[in-house]
Amino acid sequence: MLREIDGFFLLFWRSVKKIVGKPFGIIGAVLMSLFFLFVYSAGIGAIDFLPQFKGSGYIAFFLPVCLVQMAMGSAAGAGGTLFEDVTSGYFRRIALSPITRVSLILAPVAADGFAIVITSSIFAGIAVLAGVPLRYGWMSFTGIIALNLIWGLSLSAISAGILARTGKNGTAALVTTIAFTLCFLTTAFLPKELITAKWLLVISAVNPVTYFIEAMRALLAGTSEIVYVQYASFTGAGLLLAALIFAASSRRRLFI
Amino acid sequence: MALNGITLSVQAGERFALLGPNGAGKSTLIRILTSLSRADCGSVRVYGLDPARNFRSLMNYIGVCGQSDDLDPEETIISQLLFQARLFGLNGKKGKERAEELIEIFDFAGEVKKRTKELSGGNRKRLHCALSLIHRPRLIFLDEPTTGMDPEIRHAFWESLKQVNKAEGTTLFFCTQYLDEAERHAQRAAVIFNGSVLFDGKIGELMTSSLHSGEITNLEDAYLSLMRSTKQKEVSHVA
Repeated sequence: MLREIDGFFLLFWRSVKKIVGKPFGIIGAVLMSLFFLFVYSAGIGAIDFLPQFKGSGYIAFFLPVCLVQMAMGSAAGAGGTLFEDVTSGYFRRIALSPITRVSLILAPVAADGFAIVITSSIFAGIAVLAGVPLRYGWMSFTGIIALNLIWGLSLSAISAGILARTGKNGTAALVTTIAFTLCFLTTAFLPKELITAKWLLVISAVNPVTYFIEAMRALLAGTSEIVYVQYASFTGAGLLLAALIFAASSRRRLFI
Repeated sequence: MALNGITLSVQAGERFALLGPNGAGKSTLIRILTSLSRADCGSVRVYGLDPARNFRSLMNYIGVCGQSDDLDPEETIISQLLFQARLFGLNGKKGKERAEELIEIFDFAGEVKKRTKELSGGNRKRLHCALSLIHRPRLIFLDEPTTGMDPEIRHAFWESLKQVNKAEGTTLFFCTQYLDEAERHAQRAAVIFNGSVLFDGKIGELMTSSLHSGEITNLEDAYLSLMRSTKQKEVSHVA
Protein backbone atom coordinates (compact mmCIF):
# COMPACT_ATOMS: atom_id res chain seq x y z
CA MET A 1 0.00 0.00 0.00
CA LEU A 2 2.86 2.36 0.87
CA ARG A 3 4.35 1.72 -2.56
CA GLU A 4 1.03 2.64 -4.21
CA ILE A 5 0.85 5.90 -2.25
CA ASP A 6 4.51 6.63 -2.98
CA GLY A 7 3.90 5.99 -6.69
CA PHE A 8 0.84 8.23 -6.71
CA PHE A 9 2.72 11.11 -5.08
CA LEU A 10 5.67 10.61 -7.40
CA LEU A 11 3.40 11.11 -10.41
CA PHE A 12 1.46 13.86 -8.64
CA TRP A 13 4.61 15.94 -8.04
CA ARG A 14 5.77 15.28 -11.58
CA SER A 15 2.48 16.71 -12.87
CA VAL A 16 2.72 19.70 -10.52
CA LYS A 17 6.23 20.30 -11.82
CA LYS A 18 4.90 20.16 -15.39
CA ILE A 19 2.20 22.70 -14.57
CA VAL A 20 4.70 25.03 -12.88
CA GLY A 21 7.14 24.54 -15.78
CA LYS A 22 4.51 25.52 -18.33
CA PRO A 23 2.22 27.93 -16.49
CA PHE A 24 0.94 29.71 -19.58
CA GLY A 25 -2.34 27.81 -19.70
CA ILE A 26 -3.16 28.67 -16.12
CA ILE A 27 -1.94 32.26 -16.37
CA GLY A 28 -4.07 32.62 -19.50
CA ALA A 29 -7.11 31.25 -17.65
CA VAL A 30 -6.56 33.68 -14.73
CA LEU A 31 -6.06 36.66 -17.04
CA MET A 32 -9.10 35.73 -19.13
CA SER A 33 -11.25 35.48 -16.01
CA LEU A 34 -9.96 38.81 -14.74
CA PHE A 35 -10.69 40.30 -18.15
CA PHE A 36 -14.27 38.96 -18.07
CA LEU A 37 -14.75 40.24 -14.53
CA PHE A 38 -13.72 43.78 -15.31
CA VAL A 39 -15.26 44.02 -18.79
CA TYR A 40 -18.67 42.73 -17.71
CA SER A 41 -18.60 44.79 -14.53
CA ALA A 42 -17.73 47.89 -16.53
CA GLY A 43 -20.27 47.08 -19.27
CA ILE A 44 -23.36 46.08 -17.33
CA GLY A 45 -22.31 46.57 -13.72
CA ALA A 46 -24.33 49.78 -13.49
CA ILE A 47 -27.54 47.74 -13.18
CA ASP A 48 -26.56 46.45 -9.74
CA PHE A 49 -28.77 49.11 -8.14
CA LEU A 50 -31.79 46.93 -9.08
CA PRO A 51 -33.41 45.29 -6.04
CA GLN A 52 -32.86 41.76 -7.46
CA PHE A 53 -29.11 42.21 -6.80
CA LYS A 54 -29.93 42.68 -3.10
CA GLY A 55 -27.43 45.48 -2.67
CA SER A 56 -24.36 43.50 -3.72
CA GLY A 57 -21.99 45.02 -6.24
CA TYR A 58 -21.85 43.50 -9.72
CA ILE A 59 -18.27 42.31 -9.16
CA ALA A 60 -19.44 40.18 -6.20
CA PHE A 61 -22.34 38.92 -8.34
CA PHE A 62 -20.20 38.02 -11.36
CA LEU A 63 -17.14 36.74 -9.47
CA PRO A 64 -18.43 33.12 -9.19
CA VAL A 65 -18.80 32.91 -13.00
CA CYS A 66 -15.19 33.98 -13.39
CA LEU A 67 -14.04 31.48 -10.76
CA VAL A 68 -15.88 28.65 -12.49
CA GLN A 69 -14.34 29.63 -15.84
CA MET A 70 -10.89 29.86 -14.32
CA ALA A 71 -11.23 26.38 -12.86
CA MET A 72 -12.03 25.14 -16.37
CA GLY A 73 -8.73 26.58 -17.62
CA SER A 74 -6.79 25.12 -14.70
CA ALA A 75 -8.49 21.76 -15.21
CA ALA A 76 -6.91 21.42 -18.63
CA GLY A 77 -3.52 20.60 -17.09
CA ALA A 78 -4.10 16.86 -16.59
CA GLY A 79 -5.31 16.47 -20.16
CA GLY A 80 -2.28 18.43 -21.37
CA THR A 81 0.20 16.38 -19.34
CA LEU A 82 -1.40 13.11 -20.41
CA PHE A 83 -1.50 14.21 -24.05
CA GLU A 84 2.18 15.17 -24.01
CA ASP A 85 3.06 11.85 -22.38
CA VAL A 86 0.93 9.84 -24.83
CA THR A 87 2.45 11.71 -27.78
CA SER A 88 6.04 11.31 -26.60
CA GLY A 89 5.44 7.68 -25.62
CA TYR A 90 6.43 8.42 -22.02
CA PHE A 91 2.98 7.38 -20.88
CA ARG A 92 3.80 3.84 -22.05
CA ARG A 93 7.09 3.94 -20.15
CA ILE A 94 5.34 4.85 -16.90
CA ALA A 95 2.64 2.28 -17.62
CA LEU A 96 5.38 -0.36 -17.85
CA SER A 97 6.33 0.12 -14.22
CA PRO A 98 4.83 -1.28 -11.01
CA ILE A 99 2.82 1.93 -10.50
CA THR A 100 -0.94 1.35 -10.49
CA ARG A 101 -2.56 2.43 -13.74
CA VAL A 102 -5.22 4.31 -11.78
CA SER A 103 -2.42 6.53 -10.45
CA LEU A 104 -1.30 7.19 -14.02
CA ILE A 105 -4.61 8.90 -14.68
CA LEU A 106 -5.60 10.28 -11.30
CA ALA A 107 -2.25 11.77 -10.25
CA PRO A 108 -2.37 14.46 -12.99
CA VAL A 109 -6.00 15.12 -12.02
CA ALA A 110 -4.92 15.66 -8.40
CA ALA A 111 -2.23 18.05 -9.65
CA ASP A 112 -4.95 20.01 -11.43
CA GLY A 113 -6.79 20.16 -8.11
CA PHE A 114 -3.68 21.64 -6.54
CA ALA A 115 -3.50 24.26 -9.30
CA ILE A 116 -7.21 25.05 -8.94
CA VAL A 117 -6.88 25.64 -5.18
CA ILE A 118 -3.89 27.95 -5.66
CA THR A 119 -5.34 30.00 -8.53
CA SER A 120 -8.84 30.20 -7.02
CA SER A 121 -7.41 31.34 -3.69
CA ILE A 122 -5.33 34.05 -5.33
CA PHE A 123 -8.21 35.19 -7.55
CA ALA A 124 -10.79 35.21 -4.75
CA GLY A 125 -8.26 36.80 -2.39
CA ILE A 126 -7.71 39.70 -4.79
CA ALA A 127 -11.49 40.11 -5.16
CA VAL A 128 -11.93 40.19 -1.37
CA LEU A 129 -9.18 42.79 -1.05
CA ALA A 130 -11.00 44.79 -3.75
CA GLY A 131 -14.10 44.84 -1.54
CA VAL A 132 -16.11 41.71 -2.38
CA PRO A 133 -17.90 40.70 0.85
CA LEU A 134 -17.61 37.28 2.55
CA ARG A 135 -20.94 36.68 4.27
CA TYR A 136 -19.62 33.92 6.55
CA GLY A 137 -16.01 35.07 6.81
CA TRP A 138 -13.28 32.47 6.26
CA MET A 139 -15.93 29.74 5.95
CA SER A 140 -17.26 31.50 2.88
CA PHE A 141 -13.78 31.72 1.44
CA THR A 142 -13.09 28.02 2.12
CA GLY A 143 -16.52 27.13 0.75
CA ILE A 144 -16.09 28.83 -2.60
CA ILE A 145 -12.62 27.35 -3.05
CA ALA A 146 -13.98 23.87 -2.19
CA LEU A 147 -16.89 24.23 -4.64
CA ASN A 148 -14.54 25.42 -7.37
CA LEU A 149 -12.23 22.51 -6.61
CA ILE A 150 -15.07 20.01 -6.98
CA TRP A 151 -16.14 21.55 -10.28
CA GLY A 152 -12.61 21.77 -11.68
CA LEU A 153 -11.62 18.27 -10.54
CA SER A 154 -14.72 16.84 -12.21
CA LEU A 155 -13.80 18.44 -15.53
CA SER A 156 -10.19 17.40 -15.17
CA ALA A 157 -11.13 13.78 -14.45
CA ILE A 158 -13.51 13.61 -17.43
CA SER A 159 -10.86 15.12 -19.75
CA ALA A 160 -8.17 12.76 -18.43
CA GLY A 161 -10.48 9.76 -18.82
CA ILE A 162 -11.31 10.64 -22.40
CA LEU A 163 -7.68 11.29 -23.25
CA ALA A 164 -6.50 8.04 -21.67
CA ARG A 165 -9.04 6.16 -23.80
CA THR A 166 -8.55 7.97 -27.09
CA GLY A 167 -5.09 9.52 -26.94
CA LYS A 168 -6.54 12.50 -28.81
CA ASN A 169 -6.28 15.98 -27.36
CA GLY A 170 -9.22 17.25 -29.43
CA THR A 171 -11.68 14.93 -27.70
CA ALA A 172 -10.56 16.17 -24.28
CA ALA A 173 -10.80 19.80 -25.45
CA LEU A 174 -14.43 19.09 -26.27
CA VAL A 175 -15.09 18.83 -22.52
CA THR A 176 -13.84 22.40 -22.02
CA THR A 177 -15.99 23.63 -24.92
CA ILE A 178 -19.12 21.99 -23.48
CA ALA A 179 -18.36 23.26 -19.97
CA PHE A 180 -17.73 26.77 -21.30
CA THR A 181 -21.12 26.71 -23.01
CA LEU A 182 -22.80 25.42 -19.85
CA CYS A 183 -21.31 28.34 -17.90
CA PHE A 184 -23.34 30.78 -19.95
CA LEU A 185 -26.55 28.74 -19.87
CA THR A 186 -26.98 29.78 -16.26
CA THR A 187 -27.85 32.87 -14.30
CA ALA A 188 -24.35 34.09 -15.16
CA PHE A 189 -25.13 37.72 -15.98
CA LEU A 190 -28.41 38.42 -14.23
CA PRO A 191 -30.43 37.09 -11.29
CA LYS A 192 -33.10 34.66 -12.49
CA GLU A 193 -35.82 37.21 -11.66
CA LEU A 194 -34.46 39.47 -14.42
CA ILE A 195 -34.05 36.78 -17.10
CA THR A 196 -36.87 37.07 -19.62
CA ALA A 197 -36.13 34.11 -21.92
CA LYS A 198 -38.15 31.13 -20.68
CA TRP A 199 -35.83 28.59 -22.38
CA LEU A 200 -32.81 30.00 -20.56
CA LEU A 201 -34.62 29.80 -17.23
CA VAL A 202 -35.50 26.14 -17.88
CA ILE A 203 -31.97 25.21 -18.91
CA SER A 204 -30.37 27.13 -16.06
CA ALA A 205 -32.66 25.39 -13.56
CA VAL A 206 -31.32 21.95 -14.56
CA ASN A 207 -27.78 23.03 -15.36
CA PRO A 208 -25.47 21.91 -12.52
CA VAL A 209 -23.17 24.89 -13.14
CA THR A 210 -26.02 27.16 -11.97
CA TYR A 211 -25.88 25.48 -8.55
CA PHE A 212 -22.16 26.12 -8.21
CA ILE A 213 -22.55 29.77 -9.20
CA GLU A 214 -25.58 30.39 -6.98
CA ALA A 215 -23.95 28.62 -4.03
CA MET A 216 -20.89 30.84 -4.34
CA ARG A 217 -23.13 33.90 -4.50
CA ALA A 218 -24.83 32.75 -1.31
CA LEU A 219 -21.44 32.47 0.37
CA LEU A 220 -20.10 35.78 -0.96
CA ALA A 221 -22.66 38.59 -0.81
CA GLY A 222 -25.68 36.45 0.06
CA THR A 223 -27.58 37.28 -3.12
CA SER A 224 -28.79 33.66 -3.40
CA GLU A 225 -30.46 31.37 -0.89
CA ILE A 226 -28.06 29.36 1.26
CA VAL A 227 -29.87 26.16 0.21
CA TYR A 228 -27.89 26.39 -3.07
CA VAL A 229 -24.79 25.40 -1.09
CA GLN A 230 -26.51 22.09 -0.32
CA TYR A 231 -27.64 21.65 -3.92
CA ALA A 232 -24.14 22.39 -5.21
CA SER A 233 -22.53 20.08 -2.64
CA PHE A 234 -24.75 17.13 -3.52
CA THR A 235 -24.63 17.75 -7.27
CA GLY A 236 -20.89 18.35 -7.11
CA ALA A 237 -20.24 15.20 -5.07
CA GLY A 238 -22.23 13.15 -7.59
CA LEU A 239 -20.53 14.76 -10.56
CA LEU A 240 -17.06 14.32 -9.07
CA LEU A 241 -17.69 10.72 -8.09
CA ALA A 242 -18.98 9.87 -11.58
CA ALA A 243 -16.03 11.68 -13.19
CA LEU A 244 -13.47 9.89 -11.00
CA ILE A 245 -15.06 6.50 -11.68
CA PHE A 246 -15.02 7.27 -15.42
CA ALA A 247 -11.36 8.30 -15.26
CA ALA A 248 -10.30 5.37 -13.08
CA SER A 249 -12.11 2.86 -15.30
CA SER A 250 -10.08 4.15 -18.26
CA ARG A 251 -7.10 2.20 -16.90
CA ARG A 252 -8.44 -0.89 -18.65
CA ARG A 253 -8.60 0.90 -21.98
CA LEU A 254 -5.40 2.88 -21.86
CA PHE A 255 -4.21 4.18 -25.20
CA ILE A 256 -0.73 2.63 -25.01
CA MET B 1 -5.45 -14.18 -35.79
CA ALA B 2 -1.99 -12.62 -35.28
CA LEU B 3 -0.60 -15.51 -33.21
CA ASN B 4 -1.49 -19.18 -33.18
CA GLY B 5 -0.34 -21.69 -30.57
CA ILE B 6 3.07 -20.24 -29.91
CA THR B 7 5.21 -21.89 -27.22
CA LEU B 8 8.68 -20.54 -26.64
CA SER B 9 10.95 -21.21 -23.74
CA VAL B 10 13.97 -19.04 -23.14
CA GLN B 11 16.74 -19.97 -20.72
CA ALA B 12 17.82 -17.57 -17.98
CA GLY B 13 20.71 -15.40 -19.06
CA GLU B 14 20.26 -16.34 -22.72
CA ARG B 15 20.32 -13.98 -25.70
CA PHE B 16 17.30 -14.94 -27.77
CA ALA B 17 16.28 -13.49 -31.14
CA LEU B 18 12.75 -13.57 -32.47
CA LEU B 19 12.78 -13.35 -36.26
CA GLY B 20 10.13 -13.13 -38.91
CA PRO B 21 8.83 -10.94 -41.73
CA ASN B 22 6.80 -7.79 -41.18
CA GLY B 23 3.36 -8.67 -39.86
CA ALA B 24 4.48 -12.09 -38.60
CA GLY B 25 3.30 -11.26 -35.09
CA LYS B 26 6.63 -10.47 -33.38
CA SER B 27 5.58 -7.12 -31.95
CA THR B 28 2.13 -8.47 -31.05
CA LEU B 29 3.79 -11.28 -29.11
CA ILE B 30 6.02 -8.84 -27.25
CA ARG B 31 3.06 -6.57 -26.48
CA ILE B 32 1.12 -9.52 -25.05
CA LEU B 33 4.10 -10.77 -23.04
CA THR B 34 4.64 -7.31 -21.56
CA SER B 35 0.97 -6.54 -20.72
CA LEU B 36 0.55 -3.84 -23.38
CA SER B 37 -2.00 -5.98 -25.25
CA ARG B 38 -4.26 -8.81 -24.18
CA ALA B 39 -4.47 -12.15 -25.92
CA ASP B 40 -7.96 -12.86 -27.30
CA CYS B 41 -7.75 -16.43 -26.01
CA GLY B 42 -5.30 -18.92 -24.58
CA SER B 43 -2.92 -18.43 -21.71
CA VAL B 44 0.29 -16.51 -21.41
CA ARG B 45 2.81 -16.88 -18.60
CA VAL B 46 6.02 -14.99 -18.01
CA TYR B 47 7.85 -16.15 -14.87
CA GLY B 48 4.62 -17.92 -14.02
CA LEU B 49 2.67 -14.67 -14.07
CA ASP B 50 -0.21 -13.71 -16.35
CA PRO B 51 0.85 -10.35 -17.87
CA ALA B 52 -2.76 -9.17 -18.15
CA ARG B 53 -3.61 -9.86 -14.51
CA ASN B 54 -0.32 -9.53 -12.66
CA PHE B 55 1.39 -6.82 -14.66
CA ARG B 56 2.59 -4.89 -11.60
CA SER B 57 4.41 -7.91 -10.18
CA LEU B 58 5.68 -8.84 -13.62
CA MET B 59 7.20 -5.39 -14.14
CA ASN B 60 9.65 -6.10 -11.33
CA TYR B 61 11.05 -9.02 -13.36
CA ILE B 62 11.06 -7.60 -16.86
CA GLY B 63 12.24 -4.55 -18.75
CA VAL B 64 10.65 -3.39 -21.99
CA CYS B 65 12.38 -1.48 -24.75
CA GLY B 66 9.84 -0.96 -27.51
CA GLN B 67 10.26 0.27 -31.08
CA SER B 68 9.71 3.92 -30.19
CA ASP B 69 11.86 5.78 -27.69
CA ASP B 70 9.44 6.41 -24.85
CA LEU B 71 11.09 9.40 -23.21
CA ASP B 72 10.08 12.71 -21.71
CA PRO B 73 11.60 15.22 -24.16
CA GLU B 74 11.87 17.97 -21.56
CA GLU B 75 13.83 15.99 -18.98
CA THR B 76 17.58 15.42 -18.78
CA ILE B 77 19.24 12.02 -18.96
CA ILE B 78 20.04 11.97 -15.25
CA SER B 79 16.60 13.19 -14.15
CA GLN B 80 14.90 10.50 -16.26
CA LEU B 81 17.12 7.77 -14.84
CA LEU B 82 16.48 8.93 -11.27
CA PHE B 83 12.73 9.22 -11.86
CA GLN B 84 12.65 5.78 -13.45
CA ALA B 85 14.52 4.42 -10.43
CA ARG B 86 11.90 5.90 -8.09
CA LEU B 87 9.10 4.37 -10.18
CA PHE B 88 10.63 1.01 -9.25
CA GLY B 89 11.10 1.91 -5.59
CA LEU B 90 14.83 2.63 -5.87
CA ASN B 91 14.94 5.80 -3.83
CA GLY B 92 17.86 7.94 -2.75
CA LYS B 93 21.33 6.39 -2.80
CA LYS B 94 20.22 3.11 -4.40
CA GLY B 95 18.63 4.91 -7.33
CA LYS B 96 21.59 7.23 -7.75
CA GLU B 97 24.08 4.36 -7.72
CA ARG B 98 22.12 2.41 -10.30
CA ALA B 99 21.75 5.50 -12.51
CA GLU B 100 25.52 6.04 -12.36
CA GLU B 101 26.14 2.41 -13.30
CA LEU B 102 23.93 2.71 -16.36
CA ILE B 103 25.49 6.04 -17.32
CA GLU B 104 28.83 4.27 -17.35
CA ILE B 105 27.60 1.16 -19.18
CA PHE B 106 25.83 3.19 -21.86
CA ASP B 107 28.58 5.81 -21.96
CA PHE B 108 26.45 8.85 -21.21
CA ALA B 109 29.09 10.55 -19.04
CA GLY B 110 29.41 14.18 -20.09
CA GLU B 111 25.87 14.21 -21.47
CA VAL B 112 23.87 13.59 -18.31
CA LYS B 113 22.53 17.12 -18.16
CA LYS B 114 21.40 17.08 -21.78
CA ARG B 115 17.68 17.10 -22.35
CA THR B 116 16.26 14.14 -24.21
CA LYS B 117 15.11 16.34 -27.09
CA GLU B 118 18.73 17.40 -27.64
CA LEU B 119 19.92 13.81 -28.16
CA SER B 120 20.32 12.09 -31.52
CA GLY B 121 17.84 9.37 -32.45
CA GLY B 122 20.38 6.63 -31.70
CA ASN B 123 21.26 8.02 -28.30
CA ARG B 124 17.59 8.40 -27.45
CA LYS B 125 17.14 4.68 -28.11
CA ARG B 126 20.15 3.88 -25.94
CA LEU B 127 18.69 5.95 -23.11
CA HIS B 128 15.35 4.22 -23.65
CA CYS B 129 17.10 0.89 -23.15
CA ALA B 130 19.05 2.11 -20.13
CA LEU B 131 15.79 3.19 -18.47
CA SER B 132 14.36 -0.28 -19.09
CA LEU B 133 17.28 -1.77 -17.15
CA ILE B 134 17.12 0.52 -14.12
CA HIS B 135 15.59 -2.10 -11.82
CA ARG B 136 17.95 -4.91 -12.87
CA PRO B 137 15.24 -6.94 -14.61
CA ARG B 138 15.81 -10.65 -15.07
CA LEU B 139 14.62 -10.37 -18.66
CA ILE B 140 14.48 -7.50 -21.11
CA PHE B 141 12.25 -7.46 -24.20
CA LEU B 142 13.68 -5.44 -27.06
CA ASP B 143 11.45 -4.81 -30.06
CA GLU B 144 13.63 -3.84 -33.05
CA PRO B 145 15.77 -1.72 -30.76
CA THR B 146 18.42 -0.68 -33.27
CA THR B 147 16.20 0.49 -36.12
CA GLY B 148 17.61 3.79 -37.39
CA MET B 149 20.89 3.57 -35.47
CA ASP B 150 24.15 4.18 -37.31
CA PRO B 151 26.65 1.27 -37.25
CA GLU B 152 28.86 2.86 -34.59
CA ILE B 153 26.02 3.53 -32.15
CA ARG B 154 24.54 0.12 -32.95
CA HIS B 155 27.81 -1.54 -32.05
CA ALA B 156 28.09 0.46 -28.80
CA PHE B 157 24.47 -0.38 -27.98
CA TRP B 158 25.04 -4.13 -28.30
CA GLU B 159 28.26 -3.96 -26.35
CA SER B 160 26.39 -2.25 -23.49
CA LEU B 161 23.62 -4.82 -23.60
CA LYS B 162 26.03 -7.74 -23.67
CA GLN B 163 27.85 -6.24 -20.71
CA VAL B 164 24.58 -6.20 -18.74
CA ASN B 165 23.78 -9.71 -19.97
CA LYS B 166 27.15 -10.99 -18.76
CA ALA B 167 27.49 -9.01 -15.53
CA GLU B 168 23.89 -9.19 -14.29
CA GLY B 169 22.68 -12.33 -16.03
CA THR B 170 19.86 -10.43 -17.72
CA THR B 171 18.12 -12.47 -20.40
CA LEU B 172 17.85 -10.64 -23.73
CA PHE B 173 14.75 -11.36 -25.80
CA PHE B 174 14.87 -9.28 -28.94
CA CYS B 175 13.25 -9.14 -32.31
CA THR B 176 15.06 -7.59 -35.22
CA GLN B 177 15.05 -7.32 -38.99
CA TYR B 178 18.86 -7.12 -39.07
CA LEU B 179 19.86 -10.75 -39.42
CA ASP B 180 23.56 -10.02 -39.08
CA GLU B 181 22.69 -8.59 -35.67
CA ALA B 182 20.85 -11.75 -34.67
CA GLU B 183 23.70 -13.93 -35.97
CA ARG B 184 26.29 -11.96 -34.05
CA HIS B 185 24.49 -11.37 -30.76
CA ALA B 186 21.90 -14.14 -30.25
CA GLN B 187 22.62 -17.63 -28.96
CA ARG B 188 19.24 -19.01 -29.95
CA ALA B 189 16.47 -17.84 -32.25
CA ALA B 190 12.91 -18.54 -33.22
CA VAL B 191 11.41 -17.73 -36.59
CA ILE B 192 7.70 -17.01 -36.72
CA PHE B 193 5.53 -16.65 -39.78
CA ASN B 194 1.79 -16.04 -39.94
CA GLY B 195 1.66 -16.28 -36.16
CA SER B 196 3.24 -19.75 -35.93
CA VAL B 197 6.74 -20.91 -35.02
CA LEU B 198 8.69 -22.23 -38.02
CA PHE B 199 11.94 -22.78 -36.21
CA ASP B 200 13.13 -22.67 -32.59
CA GLY B 201 16.71 -23.55 -31.78
CA LYS B 202 20.35 -22.53 -31.87
CA ILE B 203 21.46 -20.12 -34.55
CA GLY B 204 23.89 -22.73 -35.93
CA GLU B 205 21.05 -25.27 -36.22
CA LEU B 206 19.01 -22.87 -38.29
CA MET B 207 21.89 -22.50 -40.71
CA THR B 208 22.44 -26.25 -41.05
CA SER B 209 18.76 -27.17 -41.08
CA SER B 210 17.62 -29.73 -43.65
CA LEU B 211 14.87 -27.31 -44.64
CA HIS B 212 17.29 -25.45 -46.87
CA SER B 213 18.16 -26.03 -50.45
CA GLY B 214 21.28 -24.46 -51.90
CA GLU B 215 24.36 -23.04 -50.24
CA ILE B 216 23.93 -21.36 -46.85
CA THR B 217 26.77 -19.15 -45.67
CA ASN B 218 25.09 -16.94 -43.11
CA LEU B 219 21.88 -16.47 -41.15
CA GLU B 220 20.36 -14.26 -43.82
CA ASP B 221 20.74 -17.04 -46.43
CA ALA B 222 19.23 -19.54 -43.99
CA TYR B 223 16.33 -17.25 -43.14
CA LEU B 224 15.53 -16.48 -46.80
CA SER B 225 15.70 -20.15 -47.70
CA LEU B 226 13.36 -21.03 -44.84
CA MET B 227 10.88 -18.36 -45.91
CA ARG B 228 11.00 -19.49 -49.56
CA SER B 229 10.35 -23.12 -48.70
CA THR B 230 7.53 -22.22 -46.29
CA LYS B 231 5.79 -20.04 -48.86
CA GLN B 232 6.17 -22.72 -51.54
CA LYS B 233 4.58 -25.26 -49.18
CA GLU B 234 1.71 -22.85 -48.52
CA VAL B 235 1.13 -22.32 -52.25
CA SER B 236 1.17 -26.07 -52.97
CA HIS B 237 -1.13 -26.68 -49.99
CA VAL B 238 -3.66 -24.15 -51.32
CA ALA B 239 -3.37 -25.58 -54.84
